[in-house]
Amino acid sequence: MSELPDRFPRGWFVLGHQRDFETESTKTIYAFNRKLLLTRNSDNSISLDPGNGESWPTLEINQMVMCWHDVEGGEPDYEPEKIDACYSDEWSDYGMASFLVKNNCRELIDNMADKGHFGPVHQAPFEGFWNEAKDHTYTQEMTADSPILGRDLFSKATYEGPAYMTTYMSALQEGQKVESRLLVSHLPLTLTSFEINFGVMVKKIPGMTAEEEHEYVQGYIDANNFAFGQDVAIWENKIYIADPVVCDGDGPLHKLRKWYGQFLVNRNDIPKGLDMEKREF
Amino acid sequence: MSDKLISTELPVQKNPNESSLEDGWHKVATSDAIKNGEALQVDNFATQLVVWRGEDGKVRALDLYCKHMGAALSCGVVDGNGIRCPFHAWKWNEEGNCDDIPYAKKIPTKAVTRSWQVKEESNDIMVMLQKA
Repeated sequence: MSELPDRFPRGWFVLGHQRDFETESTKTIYAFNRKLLLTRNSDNSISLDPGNGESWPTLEINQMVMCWHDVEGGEPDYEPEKIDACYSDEWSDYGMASFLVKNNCRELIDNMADKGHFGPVHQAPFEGFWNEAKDHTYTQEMTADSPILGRDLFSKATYEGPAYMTTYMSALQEGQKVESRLLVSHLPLTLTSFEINFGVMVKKIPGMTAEEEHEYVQGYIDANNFAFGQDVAIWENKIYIADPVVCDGDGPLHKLRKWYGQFLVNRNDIPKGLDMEKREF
Repeated sequence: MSDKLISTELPVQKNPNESSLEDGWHKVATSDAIKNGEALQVDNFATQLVVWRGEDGKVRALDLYCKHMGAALSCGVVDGNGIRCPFHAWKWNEEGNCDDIPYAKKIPTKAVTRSWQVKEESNDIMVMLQKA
């Protein structure tokens, strides 16, 4: 049967965009079945009070405020890589949007290996599809042709840990190459609900006014919101099949779930052999 | 006071053998509730079902949740006399066998779900329960 995990995964989780934490103010965020109090101090540092007398590490990187969640209470064993575009004037800032999904957050992860759902759910039959697992990272590369997200689409999406995924995408729109970056992060509220916080940034097109740029970013947010809506419609009325019968056209779903499983057990119980060399599926 | 948030319960395909319903025919919908080419989710039976009417006018029933990745087949589309899952477009026939996967060369032999005997009688759609 579809038993839920006994815990929230270990790893870095995005709490929000840096600009949403104003100096000398405290914000309450509901996550991990508790209340987190986030304070931006007068020296610009962030403190986090997760309650129960605990202390969790925080990090500000790639425009995001993140916290380290670990039921073992250990120190972080990785950090997300710095993305230059997040600090470059050639790119817009992240425009953010969020929504709630009533299911366990593991549902979202399946998408990385789920080659077969892009056609029926997103009307975006892929052309090429690659997966790679290495330590705490899992990468999907894809080429596709999507009426929603663009023609001649190339995307490279990498999870760093269980809840922080960044994507580089390029596509042709009306003959022009557009480059964008997505952030897909999520925050579990309970074991049966999670909030997706996603961000979109685009490489600025020379000559574009600030207003046009804003509209352009918003267009991408809307397109991605639409695509997530297609997933959510499925996620909110489904059961979890722990050991699915897969066909020859499915991606490496079992491999991906084993990789994800490392964040749901104590460090000492992490099995060996979770890595997978880059392969086409 | 607890700080814990309220959790929603997630669906599971209920075990029909644990149902309080007795063996025999059970009404699950009226005939006019399902037109040709339409599918319905049924929650008032021993387990959740998808009930659909094929293009030939015959009503059929399977377990609601797809045996592949768990989506509700009632959100899919009726294709000929079968039902196609909304998630990966696997098509299921009335015997509970998957007979088409658009992106696969070969259909796995284990791609089988539970089928239910259906009849129509004076504007009622009835499903037979026979517990194991």
